[in-house]
Amino acid sequence: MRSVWSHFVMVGVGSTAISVGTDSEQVVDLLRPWTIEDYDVSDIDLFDYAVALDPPHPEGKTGGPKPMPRLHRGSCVLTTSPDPQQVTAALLQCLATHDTTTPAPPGTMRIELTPLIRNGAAVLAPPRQVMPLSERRLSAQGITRLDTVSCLLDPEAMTASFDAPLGADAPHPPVPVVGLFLPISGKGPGVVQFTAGRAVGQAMGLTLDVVSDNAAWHLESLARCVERTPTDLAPGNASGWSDALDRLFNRGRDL
Amino acid sequence: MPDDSPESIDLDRLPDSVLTHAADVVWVLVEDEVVLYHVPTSTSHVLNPSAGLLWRCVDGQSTLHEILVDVADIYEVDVDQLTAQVTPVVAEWIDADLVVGQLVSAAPAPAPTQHAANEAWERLPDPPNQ
Repeated sequence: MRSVWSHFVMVGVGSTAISVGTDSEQVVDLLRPWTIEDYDVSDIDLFDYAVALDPPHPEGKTGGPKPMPRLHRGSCVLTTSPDPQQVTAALLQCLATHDTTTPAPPGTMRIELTPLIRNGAAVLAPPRQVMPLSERRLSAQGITRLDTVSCLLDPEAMTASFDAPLGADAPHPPVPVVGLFLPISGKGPGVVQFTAGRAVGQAMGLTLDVVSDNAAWHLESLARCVERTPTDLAPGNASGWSDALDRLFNRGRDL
Repeated sequence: MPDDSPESIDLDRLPDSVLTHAADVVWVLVEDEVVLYHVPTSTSHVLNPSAGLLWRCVDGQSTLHEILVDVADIYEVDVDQLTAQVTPVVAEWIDADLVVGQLVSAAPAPAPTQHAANEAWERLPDPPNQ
Protein backbone atom coordinates (compact mmCIF):
# COMPACT_ATOMS: atom_id res chain seq x y z
CA MET A 1 0.00 0.00 0.00
CA ARG A 2 1.32 3.43 -0.89
CA SER A 3 1.58 5.99 1.89
CA VAL A 4 0.01 9.38 1.37
CA TRP A 5 3.05 10.94 3.02
CA SER A 6 6.18 11.71 1.06
CA HIS A 7 8.39 11.02 4.08
CA PHE A 8 8.13 8.40 6.78
CA VAL A 9 10.29 7.86 9.83
CA MET A 10 10.18 5.48 12.77
CA VAL A 11 10.86 7.22 16.06
CA GLY A 12 12.06 5.51 19.23
CA VAL A 13 10.65 7.00 22.43
CA GLY A 14 11.66 5.04 25.49
CA SER A 15 11.04 1.45 24.43
CA THR A 16 8.28 2.34 21.99
CA ALA A 17 8.56 2.72 18.26
CA ILE A 18 6.15 5.22 16.74
CA SER A 19 5.67 5.90 13.06
CA VAL A 20 5.52 9.46 11.80
CA GLY A 21 4.53 10.40 8.28
CA THR A 22 5.08 13.89 6.96
CA ASP A 23 5.17 16.04 3.88
CA SER A 24 8.22 17.93 5.10
CA GLU A 25 11.94 17.19 5.15
CA GLN A 26 12.14 19.72 7.96
CA VAL A 27 10.19 17.32 10.18
CA VAL A 28 12.44 14.42 9.17
CA ASP A 29 15.47 16.49 10.21
CA LEU A 30 13.79 17.51 13.45
CA LEU A 31 13.17 13.88 14.41
CA ARG A 32 16.59 12.62 13.33
CA PRO A 33 17.96 12.33 16.92
CA TRP A 34 15.20 9.83 17.74
CA THR A 35 14.92 8.09 14.40
CA ILE A 36 15.53 4.35 14.55
CA GLU A 37 16.27 1.92 11.76
CA ASP A 38 15.97 -1.41 13.58
CA TYR A 39 12.80 -2.11 15.44
CA ASP A 40 10.65 -5.03 16.39
CA VAL A 41 7.21 -4.84 14.85
CA SER A 42 5.69 -5.89 18.17
CA ASP A 43 7.12 -2.76 19.79
CA ILE A 44 5.35 -0.34 17.50
CA ASP A 45 2.79 1.78 19.26
CA LEU A 46 -0.74 1.47 18.02
CA PHE A 47 -0.88 5.16 17.26
CA ASP A 48 0.94 6.72 14.39
CA TYR A 49 1.42 10.41 13.86
CA ALA A 50 1.46 12.51 10.73
CA VAL A 51 2.52 16.10 10.24
CA ALA A 52 1.35 18.12 7.27
CA LEU A 53 3.18 21.44 7.16
CA ASP A 54 2.04 22.28 3.65
CA PRO A 55 -1.26 20.46 3.23
CA PRO A 56 -2.78 20.58 -0.24
CA HIS A 57 -6.26 21.84 -0.97
CA PRO A 58 -8.91 19.16 -0.71
CA GLU A 59 -9.25 17.24 -3.95
CA GLY A 60 -11.23 19.21 -6.50
CA LYS A 61 -11.22 22.41 -4.44
CA THR A 62 -8.41 24.64 -5.61
CA GLY A 63 -10.08 27.85 -4.50
CA GLY A 64 -10.80 28.96 -0.98
CA PRO A 65 -8.45 29.28 1.94
CA LYS A 66 -5.37 27.09 2.07
CA PRO A 67 -5.55 24.38 4.73
CA MET A 68 -3.43 25.10 7.80
CA PRO A 69 -0.50 22.98 8.97
CA ARG A 70 -1.75 20.13 11.12
CA LEU A 71 -0.79 17.23 13.32
CA HIS A 72 -2.65 13.93 13.08
CA ARG A 73 -2.65 10.98 15.40
CA GLY A 74 -4.21 8.10 13.55
CA SER A 75 -7.33 9.46 11.92
CA CYS A 76 -7.72 12.23 14.50
CA VAL A 77 -6.50 15.76 13.83
CA LEU A 78 -4.74 16.69 17.05
CA THR A 79 -3.98 20.29 16.30
CA THR A 80 -3.94 22.83 13.52
CA SER A 81 -2.11 26.14 13.50
CA PRO A 82 -1.07 28.74 10.97
CA ASP A 83 2.38 28.50 12.57
CA PRO A 84 4.26 25.37 11.41
CA GLN A 85 6.59 25.61 14.41
CA GLN A 86 3.63 25.29 16.73
CA VAL A 87 2.62 22.08 14.97
CA THR A 88 6.10 20.57 15.20
CA ALA A 89 6.29 21.62 18.86
CA ALA A 90 3.00 19.81 19.46
CA LEU A 91 4.45 16.71 17.79
CA LEU A 92 7.49 16.73 20.11
CA GLN A 93 5.23 17.26 23.10
CA CYS A 94 2.92 14.39 22.13
CA LEU A 95 5.75 11.99 21.33
CA ALA A 96 7.28 12.59 24.75
CA THR A 97 4.18 11.16 26.43
CA HIS A 98 4.87 7.75 24.89
CA ASP A 99 7.99 7.24 26.99
CA THR A 100 6.70 4.60 29.35
CA THR A 101 10.15 3.54 30.53
CA THR A 102 9.99 6.12 33.28
CA PRO A 103 7.23 5.15 35.69
CA ALA A 104 5.01 7.77 37.25
CA PRO A 105 6.68 9.14 40.40
CA PRO A 106 5.23 7.86 43.69
CA GLY A 107 1.95 9.54 44.52
CA THR A 108 1.16 10.35 40.91
CA MET A 109 -0.70 8.57 38.15
CA ARG A 110 -0.50 8.94 34.40
CA ILE A 111 -3.85 9.77 32.93
CA GLU A 112 -4.81 10.33 29.32
CA LEU A 113 -6.13 13.85 29.64
CA THR A 114 -4.97 17.08 28.05
CA PRO A 115 -4.50 20.23 30.15
CA LEU A 116 -6.21 23.48 29.27
CA ILE A 117 -4.70 26.27 31.31
CA ARG A 118 -6.18 29.60 32.35
CA ASN A 119 -4.75 31.94 34.97
CA GLY A 120 -2.27 29.31 36.06
CA ALA A 121 -4.88 26.61 36.72
CA ALA A 122 -5.74 23.61 34.58
CA VAL A 123 -8.86 21.85 33.49
CA LEU A 124 -8.09 18.35 32.18
CA ALA A 125 -10.05 17.08 29.19
CA PRO A 126 -10.03 14.18 26.72
CA PRO A 127 -7.36 14.83 24.07
CA ARG A 128 -9.42 13.45 21.25
CA GLN A 129 -12.08 16.06 21.89
CA VAL A 130 -10.04 19.12 22.84
CA MET A 131 -7.02 18.82 20.59
CA PRO A 132 -9.02 19.73 17.47
CA LEU A 133 -10.46 22.85 19.13
CA SER A 134 -9.40 26.09 17.52
CA GLU A 135 -6.44 27.58 19.28
CA ARG A 136 -7.60 31.03 18.30
CA ARG A 137 -10.93 30.51 20.04
CA LEU A 138 -9.27 29.10 23.13
CA SER A 139 -6.92 32.08 23.24
CA ALA A 140 -9.90 34.41 23.02
CA GLN A 141 -11.12 32.80 26.25
CA GLY A 142 -7.70 33.21 27.83
CA ILE A 143 -7.05 29.48 27.61
CA THR A 144 -3.82 27.81 26.55
CA ARG A 145 -3.86 24.17 25.55
CA LEU A 146 -0.78 22.08 26.22
CA ASP A 147 -0.41 19.73 23.30
CA THR A 148 0.06 16.57 25.26
CA VAL A 149 -2.13 13.49 25.30
CA SER A 150 -1.43 12.54 28.90
CA CYS A 151 -0.23 14.08 32.12
CA LEU A 152 0.86 13.08 35.60
CA LEU A 153 -1.87 13.72 38.13
CA ASP A 154 -1.06 14.12 41.80
CA PRO A 155 -4.44 13.32 43.36
CA GLU A 156 -3.50 14.54 46.83
CA ALA A 157 -2.11 17.92 45.83
CA MET A 158 -4.57 17.97 42.90
CA THR A 159 -1.88 19.17 40.54
CA ALA A 160 -0.87 17.99 37.11
CA SER A 161 2.60 17.93 35.62
CA PHE A 162 3.59 17.31 32.06
CA ASP A 163 6.39 15.59 30.22
CA ALA A 164 9.10 17.74 28.76
CA PRO A 165 8.86 17.75 24.97
CA LEU A 166 11.40 15.58 23.17
CA GLY A 167 14.68 17.45 23.14
CA ALA A 168 13.80 19.70 26.07
CA ASP A 169 15.44 19.33 29.45
CA ALA A 170 12.98 20.69 31.93
CA PRO A 171 9.37 19.56 32.24
CA HIS A 172 6.59 22.07 32.65
CA PRO A 173 6.05 23.01 36.28
CA PRO A 174 2.99 21.42 37.90
CA VAL A 175 -0.24 23.40 37.85
CA PRO A 176 -3.29 23.10 40.10
CA VAL A 177 -6.18 21.19 38.58
CA VAL A 178 -9.54 22.90 39.02
CA GLY A 179 -11.75 20.72 36.85
CA LEU A 180 -12.09 17.47 34.95
CA PHE A 181 -13.90 16.76 31.73
CA LEU A 182 -14.41 13.09 31.04
CA PRO A 183 -15.30 11.46 27.74
CA ILE A 184 -18.70 10.15 26.87
CA SER A 185 -18.95 6.43 27.40
CA GLY A 186 -19.10 4.17 24.40
CA LYS A 187 -22.27 2.67 25.82
CA GLY A 188 -25.29 2.22 23.60
CA PRO A 189 -28.24 4.51 22.90
CA GLY A 190 -30.12 6.41 25.54
CA VAL A 191 -29.22 9.14 27.94
CA VAL A 192 -27.07 7.94 30.79
CA GLN A 193 -26.94 10.04 33.90
CA PHE A 194 -23.44 11.28 34.59
CA THR A 195 -23.04 10.35 38.22
CA ALA A 196 -20.00 10.65 40.43
CA GLY A 197 -19.56 6.88 40.23
CA ARG A 198 -19.68 6.97 36.46
CA ALA A 199 -17.12 9.78 36.48
CA VAL A 200 -14.76 7.69 38.59
CA GLY A 201 -15.29 4.69 36.30
CA GLN A 202 -14.57 6.78 33.23
CA ALA A 203 -11.48 8.36 34.79
CA MET A 204 -10.18 4.95 35.81
CA GLY A 205 -10.40 3.86 32.18
CA LEU A 206 -8.04 6.71 31.26
CA THR A 207 -5.30 5.84 33.72
CA LEU A 208 -2.22 4.06 32.49
CA ASP A 209 0.14 1.60 34.15
CA VAL A 210 -2.51 0.20 36.49
CA VAL A 211 -1.48 -3.15 37.97
CA SER A 212 -2.77 -5.23 40.85
CA ASP A 213 -0.45 -3.55 43.35
CA ASN A 214 -1.60 0.00 42.62
CA ALA A 215 -5.15 -0.46 41.30
CA ALA A 216 -6.84 0.22 44.64
CA TRP A 217 -4.79 3.37 45.13
CA HIS A 218 -5.70 4.60 41.63
CA LEU A 219 -9.39 3.96 42.16
CA GLU A 220 -9.60 5.46 45.64
CA SER A 221 -7.53 8.47 44.59
CA LEU A 222 -9.76 9.14 41.61
CA ALA A 223 -12.83 8.89 43.81
CA ARG A 224 -11.34 11.60 46.04
CA CYS A 225 -10.48 13.69 42.98
CA VAL A 226 -14.03 13.54 41.69
CA GLU A 227 -15.35 14.33 45.15
CA ARG A 228 -13.14 17.42 45.49
CA THR A 229 -12.97 18.68 41.91
CA PRO A 230 -15.72 19.93 39.62
CA THR A 231 -16.23 17.19 37.06
CA ASP A 232 -18.39 17.20 33.97
CA LEU A 233 -19.08 15.22 30.87
CA ALA A 234 -17.06 16.43 27.89
CA PRO A 235 -19.28 18.19 25.36
CA GLY A 236 -20.11 16.04 22.38
CA ASN A 237 -19.40 18.71 19.79
CA ALA A 238 -16.99 21.59 19.29
CA SER A 239 -19.61 24.30 19.73
CA GLY A 240 -20.34 23.19 23.28
CA TRP A 241 -16.82 23.63 24.55
CA SER A 242 -16.69 27.39 24.94
CA ASP A 243 -19.47 27.61 27.53
CA ALA A 244 -18.52 24.32 29.15
CA LEU A 245 -14.94 25.47 29.73
CA ASP A 246 -16.06 28.78 31.17
CA ARG A 247 -18.44 27.00 33.52
CA LEU A 248 -15.89 24.51 34.77
CA PHE A 249 -13.09 27.07 35.21
CA ASN A 250 -15.50 29.30 37.12
CA ARG A 251 -16.71 26.46 39.34
CA GLY A 252 -13.11 25.52 40.10
CA ARG A 253 -12.21 29.13 40.86
CA ASP A 254 -15.17 29.50 43.22
CA LEU A 255 -14.19 26.52 45.35
CA MET B 1 -15.22 -31.44 48.26
CA PRO B 2 -16.77 -28.58 46.31
CA ASP B 3 -15.03 -27.23 43.26
CA ASP B 4 -14.73 -23.46 43.59
CA SER B 5 -13.71 -22.58 40.05
CA PRO B 6 -16.14 -20.12 38.44
CA GLU B 7 -16.73 -22.42 35.49
CA SER B 8 -18.08 -25.11 37.79
CA ILE B 9 -20.72 -22.93 39.47
CA ASP B 10 -24.19 -24.26 38.94
CA LEU B 11 -26.15 -21.08 38.33
CA ASP B 12 -29.39 -22.75 39.33
CA ARG B 13 -27.90 -23.30 42.75
CA LEU B 14 -26.26 -19.94 43.04
CA PRO B 15 -28.22 -18.95 46.16
CA ASP B 16 -26.45 -21.77 47.98
CA SER B 17 -23.03 -20.49 47.05
CA VAL B 18 -20.70 -18.47 49.18
CA LEU B 19 -19.50 -15.52 47.09
CA THR B 20 -16.15 -13.82 47.38
CA HIS B 21 -14.89 -10.72 45.58
CA ALA B 22 -12.30 -11.75 43.01
CA ALA B 23 -8.74 -11.02 44.07
CA ASP B 24 -7.99 -8.90 41.02
CA VAL B 25 -10.97 -6.61 41.47
CA VAL B 26 -10.74 -3.37 43.42
CA TRP B 27 -13.73 -1.29 44.35
CA VAL B 28 -14.73 1.94 45.98
CA LEU B 29 -17.99 3.40 47.21
CA VAL B 30 -18.79 6.70 45.48
CA GLU B 31 -21.83 8.31 47.00
CA ASP B 32 -24.36 5.48 46.70
CA GLU B 33 -22.76 3.70 43.76
CA VAL B 34 -19.99 1.14 43.78
CA VAL B 35 -17.24 1.44 41.20
CA LEU B 36 -15.35 -1.74 40.40
CA TYR B 37 -12.15 -2.09 38.43
CA HIS B 38 -11.14 -5.44 37.01
CA VAL B 39 -7.38 -5.28 36.66
CA PRO B 40 -6.79 -8.07 34.08
CA THR B 41 -9.19 -6.52 31.58
CA SER B 42 -8.67 -2.87 32.60
CA THR B 43 -12.42 -2.56 32.77
CA SER B 44 -14.52 -0.34 35.02
CA HIS B 45 -17.99 -1.25 36.19
CA VAL B 46 -20.45 1.00 37.96
CA LEU B 47 -23.05 -0.65 40.16
CA ASN B 48 -26.24 1.21 40.91
CA PRO B 49 -27.23 1.56 44.57
CA SER B 50 -29.15 -1.73 44.67
CA ALA B 51 -26.43 -3.78 43.03
CA GLY B 52 -23.86 -1.88 45.08
CA LEU B 53 -25.59 -2.91 48.29
CA LEU B 54 -25.46 -6.53 47.23
CA TRP B 55 -21.79 -6.16 46.33
CA ARG B 56 -21.01 -4.76 49.76
CA CYS B 57 -22.81 -7.66 51.42
CA VAL B 58 -20.59 -10.21 49.69
CA ASP B 59 -18.25 -11.24 52.49
CA GLY B 60 -16.78 -14.61 51.58
CA GLN B 61 -18.69 -16.26 54.41
CA SER B 62 -22.44 -15.91 53.82
CA THR B 63 -24.33 -17.71 51.10
CA LEU B 64 -26.18 -15.60 48.59
CA HIS B 65 -29.41 -16.89 50.07
CA GLU B 66 -28.41 -15.75 53.56
CA ILE B 67 -27.55 -12.31 52.22
CA LEU B 68 -30.83 -12.07 50.36
CA VAL B 69 -32.84 -13.11 53.39
CA ASP B 70 -31.29 -10.23 55.31
CA VAL B 71 -31.84 -7.75 52.48
CA ALA B 72 -35.43 -8.91 51.99
CA ASP B 73 -36.02 -8.51 55.69
CA ILE B 74 -34.65 -4.98 55.75
CA TYR B 75 -36.54 -3.83 52.68
CA GLU B 76 -39.63 -5.91 53.47
CA VAL B 77 -39.75 -7.63 50.11
CA ASP B 78 -40.36 -11.24 49.19
CA VAL B 79 -37.12 -13.20 49.29
CA ASP B 80 -38.08 -15.48 46.43
CA GLN B 81 -38.85 -12.52 44.22
CA LEU B 82 -35.62 -10.83 45.24
CA THR B 83 -33.69 -14.02 44.52
CA ALA B 84 -35.20 -14.26 41.06
CA GLN B 85 -34.12 -10.68 40.34
CA VAL B 86 -30.64 -10.89 41.81
CA THR B 87 -29.44 -14.29 40.66
CA PRO B 88 -28.87 -13.25 37.03
CA VAL B 89 -26.93 -10.21 38.20
CA VAL B 90 -24.64 -12.38 40.28
CA ALA B 91 -24.33 -14.81 37.37
CA GLU B 92 -23.02 -11.94 35.26
CA TRP B 93 -20.57 -10.98 37.98
CA ILE B 94 -19.26 -14.53 37.96
CA ASP B 95 -19.14 -14.56 34.19
CA ALA B 96 -17.13 -11.32 34.26
CA ASP B 97 -14.76 -12.78 36.88
CA LEU B 98 -15.76 -10.14 39.40
CA VAL B 99 -16.72 -12.68 42.05
CA VAL B 100 -15.98 -16.31 42.66
CA GLY B 101 -18.47 -18.66 44.22
CA GLN B 102 -18.26 -21.85 46.20
CA LEU B 103 -21.23 -24.17 46.35
CA VAL B 104 -21.88 -25.29 49.91
CA SER B 105 -25.21 -27.07 49.59
CA ALA B 106 -27.03 -29.16 47.06
CA ALA B 107 -30.38 -27.64 47.91
CA PRO B 108 -32.33 -26.59 44.80
CA ALA B 109 -32.92 -22.92 44.19
CA PRO B 110 -35.16 -20.92 41.91
CA ALA B 111 -33.97 -20.69 38.32
CA PRO B 112 -32.49 -17.30 37.46
CA THR B 113 -34.30 -14.95 35.16
CA GLN B 114 -32.43 -12.70 32.81
CA HIS B 115 -34.63 -9.70 33.46
CA ALA B 116 -32.87 -7.71 36.14
CA ALA B 117 -29.29 -8.18 35.05
CA ASN B 118 -29.05 -5.46 32.47
CA GLU B 119 -30.76 -2.89 34.64
CA ALA B 120 -29.01 -3.55 37.88
CA TRP B 121 -25.48 -2.97 36.83
CA GLU B 122 -23.72 -1.51 33.88
CA ARG B 123 -20.42 -2.15 32.28
CA LEU B 124 -18.39 0.84 31.19
CA PRO B 125 -16.44 0.14 28.03
CA ASP B 126 -13.08 1.83 27.95
CA PRO B 127 -13.68 5.39 26.81
CA PRO B 128 -13.11 5.90 23.08
CA ASN B 129 -10.21 8.12 23.79
CA GLN B 130 -7.68 7.09 21.23
